Amino acid sequence: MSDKDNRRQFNRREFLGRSAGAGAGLAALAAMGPGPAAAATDELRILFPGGTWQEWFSNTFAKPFEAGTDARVIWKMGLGFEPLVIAQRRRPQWDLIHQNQNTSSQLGALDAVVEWQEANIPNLKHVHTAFRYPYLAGKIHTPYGLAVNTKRIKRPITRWADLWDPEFAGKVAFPAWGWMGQEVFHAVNQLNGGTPDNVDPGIGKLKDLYAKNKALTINNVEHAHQMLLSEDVWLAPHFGARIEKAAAAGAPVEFVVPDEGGLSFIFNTAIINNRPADSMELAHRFVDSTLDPEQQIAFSRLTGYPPTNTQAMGNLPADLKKLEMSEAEVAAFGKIQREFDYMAMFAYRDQIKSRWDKEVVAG
Amino acid sequence: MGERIGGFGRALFAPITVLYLLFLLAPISFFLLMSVFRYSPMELYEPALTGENFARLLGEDYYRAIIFRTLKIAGLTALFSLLLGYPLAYFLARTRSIWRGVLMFLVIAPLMTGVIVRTYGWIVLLGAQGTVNTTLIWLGLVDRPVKILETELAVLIALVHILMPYMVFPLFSSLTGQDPNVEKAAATLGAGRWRTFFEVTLPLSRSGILMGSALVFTLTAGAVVTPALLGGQNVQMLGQTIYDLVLSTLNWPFASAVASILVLCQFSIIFLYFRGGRRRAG
Amino acid sequence: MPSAALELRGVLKRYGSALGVGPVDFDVREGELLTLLGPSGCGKTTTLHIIAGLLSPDAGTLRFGERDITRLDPQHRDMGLVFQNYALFPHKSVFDNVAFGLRMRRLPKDEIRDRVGRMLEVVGLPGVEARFPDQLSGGQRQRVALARALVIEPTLLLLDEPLSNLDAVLRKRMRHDLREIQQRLGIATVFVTHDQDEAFEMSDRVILMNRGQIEQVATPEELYDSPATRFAAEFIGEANLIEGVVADVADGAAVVDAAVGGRYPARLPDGGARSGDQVYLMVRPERVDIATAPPGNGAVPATVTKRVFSGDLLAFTLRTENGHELVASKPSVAGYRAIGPDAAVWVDLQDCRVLPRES
Repeated sequence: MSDKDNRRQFNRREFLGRSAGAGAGLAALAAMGPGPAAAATDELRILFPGGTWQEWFSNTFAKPFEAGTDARVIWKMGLGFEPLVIAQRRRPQWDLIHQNQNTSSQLGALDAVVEWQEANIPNLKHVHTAFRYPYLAGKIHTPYGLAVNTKRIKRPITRWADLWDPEFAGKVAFPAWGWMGQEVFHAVNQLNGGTPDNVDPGIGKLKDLYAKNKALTINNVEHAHQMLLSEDVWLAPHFGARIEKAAAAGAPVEFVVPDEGGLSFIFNTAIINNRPADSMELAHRFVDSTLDPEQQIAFSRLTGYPPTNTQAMGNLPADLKKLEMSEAEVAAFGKIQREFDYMAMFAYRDQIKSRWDKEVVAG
Repeated sequence: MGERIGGFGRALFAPITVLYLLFLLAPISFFLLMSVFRYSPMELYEPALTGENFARLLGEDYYRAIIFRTLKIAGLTALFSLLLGYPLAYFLARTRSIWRGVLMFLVIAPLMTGVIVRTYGWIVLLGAQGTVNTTLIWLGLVDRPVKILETELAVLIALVHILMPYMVFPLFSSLTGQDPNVEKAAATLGAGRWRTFFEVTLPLSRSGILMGSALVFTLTAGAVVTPALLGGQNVQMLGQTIYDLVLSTLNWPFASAVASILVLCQFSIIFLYFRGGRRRAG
Repeated sequence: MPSAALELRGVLKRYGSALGVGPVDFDVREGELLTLLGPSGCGKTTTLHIIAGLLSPDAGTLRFGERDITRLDPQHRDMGLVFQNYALFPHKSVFDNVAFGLRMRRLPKDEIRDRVGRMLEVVGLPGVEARFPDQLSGGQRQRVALARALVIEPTLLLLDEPLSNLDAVLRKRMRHDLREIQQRLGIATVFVTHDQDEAFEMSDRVILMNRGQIEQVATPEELYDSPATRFAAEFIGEANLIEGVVADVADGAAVVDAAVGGRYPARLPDGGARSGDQVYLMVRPERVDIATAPPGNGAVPATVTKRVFSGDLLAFTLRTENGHELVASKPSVAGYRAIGPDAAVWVDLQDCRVLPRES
């Protein structure tokens, strides 16, 4: 075991110990939730962000699942359900929560979601290791790199570091903290030698980005789309498929995977812990279906994001060949985030956000 | 002399009372309590009483600046809504045009689209290649696009636009509620149009001015989306601060302390409104 | 004849395509109280607002002495207007209400205070300067509105139904007080009302209006005794209008064969009449004589169909032998009290007047 692994284990134990001690208030919070914790096993209750993503997800995975079982899927749509799951840890009301590898690892540290095992999720063994995390594996993965305005920027962009080029002052953007900002910040911090318990390098870089290079802030997918389209932003971290959508809408932009390694967000529904056994079993069957190669290909066709199941990755139909990636490319995407210490990021989030506010935002 | 409210009146009030108790007083009590609990990285909070959240909020320059900026933008938004909305409300209240209905509809129409849609509309208008900048360049007033996005000005412009109906309608109703004879009386007593306006019309529309300003002020103070999208990092206000603390930082006690300050500011304004409204002035 | 303070010539106002008032011509004389009387919608308030300058006429001129004031803004007319609802400034104290016109005239503060104080005494409300309109009774508000209009020493006082929001007792007293103040100050006044009693008790002259037109300009007595038109006869007091034919005209009086039966002497209208004209014979109810025995020549037999007792008066509804209805009003004294419903009586008509019968 490496030092990092040791620390992760240590942190995990420490967190669990503390959380066991402080439950009285949470019980009150959980009591405000709807209905009793006892669940009907013919229901699969999912916390999900909503939007077109939910529509696609429902059509590709949830509806066929409903058709193949007696279960009915109940949705609760919105952003930021993590506090709800934390609050309901003792009496969870929901079976699944849509998350990424980062947030699921944090909920996992609190034992709020369960680890994925090949024993009860058979398709897991076919998922490329780059997209397997302890508490979820991706149904697709979302390459994340730089959106580059090729009309305004003449020189080739190859690195995250290009964001700091004074030539682009006032035309670079960084995602809002509550959206993808936190993740990209940690990537920058790590690339510059920092760790979650030493964010000085990241804070210093981002301070420069805002103060010297007059970075703008993009708040969400739609906002980013607008800013790229209006050419108020020429260079910004963003999702690959979304950049291609903006390009299709007429923005002169192109997706670049930086040499330091791109990012890749692995989204899927994490399985909430402490649910009745029948519900847990249903949830496992459902996530297994999200890893099914044929359903993944269908989902890729809707979203424009590549599948994670190696059988799907190797058998892409002609119209999706463009999503094919070499082993090297796959490795490059996961490179930075596989080093992330999610639990430390979670533990120090308030201090880090506070430094971000005072030194980067107000600085 | 208040009229006595009989059993029937109480029965009519019961549903709204229950609604307020459940969805206003209960949540407010909840976060007031939460604001004196201790933050725990692994929990949403620990139920141990502490003043550290308020000490942090009121003791650090960063948060004091956010409170000050929120009050400033809310005040300016109310002021400019009033200055721009008053002539509009006055015109609507006094015109006999058959188009009045259409014009009233146009004032309400923005409420039919969401605040997010209207905010995106302003991004298009205020951007470097937006209508405002291309017009300024075409007029020769500037030679390069002016940075408007991510400034307080952008937030102010959009909030004034988005909240205008909340100013215009109280003003409109106070202006149409005025006895038209008092303006005529002022005229026969020797007051010209401007004197009549400042001596009679304006003071008599005071309840509308107070109501509209209080509404716009409180709505601005709690705004989240518009400051986030148009102000970016440069225009941090209380609303976004709470949003971030609740949803991404997961520091509920501190979020509750910030919310307490916001609600305190809003209640103060509403309190002042009722005190002002009780004073003579119709 | 007293000189005219204000002259209206050919004044006309339309609302959209509907006629508001006019064309009307009349004068307001120095020191008089002239009443515009008529049913609602007759154009009297419109006329008053044209005089005040709050409405501008579509045609015609207003002259004030030597000046043409047709297009003059209201704030330069120096007229005091009292509104039906008083239109006091609710946000100002009584003092500030009354002082308003003086402040607009930029008088020194001391003078304003003196004049406001004196005027409140004139209207009988000393010492209420610090109160606000909503702390006053209806009658007090009315007096404040009057003081506010009078304190500027207007050239003309305009009163728009000022008594109609008061209760009956107060209204009677205010009629007297208003008239008394007006006469004491000797100020030419135009008074608008729909109440005939008010008009009669207070006015020097009355202009009777109907559908935007002037029906008749006269003193109250002339108006009562000699209505010029059927509208005037019916609007003012009560009147029996009996169809008839002129039998003879001599020495400015006529003899008329009335449909109720009988032949009666009658005064002629301004336009005169000729033998054979189809006319109305107008007779006031109190001039219809009733007797239980045949009084002599010309009396017509009739039956009482209805008898209403109202204290000082008895009102009889009568049906003549040939089926015409008449109303009679008699003092409530023993002789008339004895006449019950269904009684057979004899009827005679006195002080008849000829009214033209419109084709």
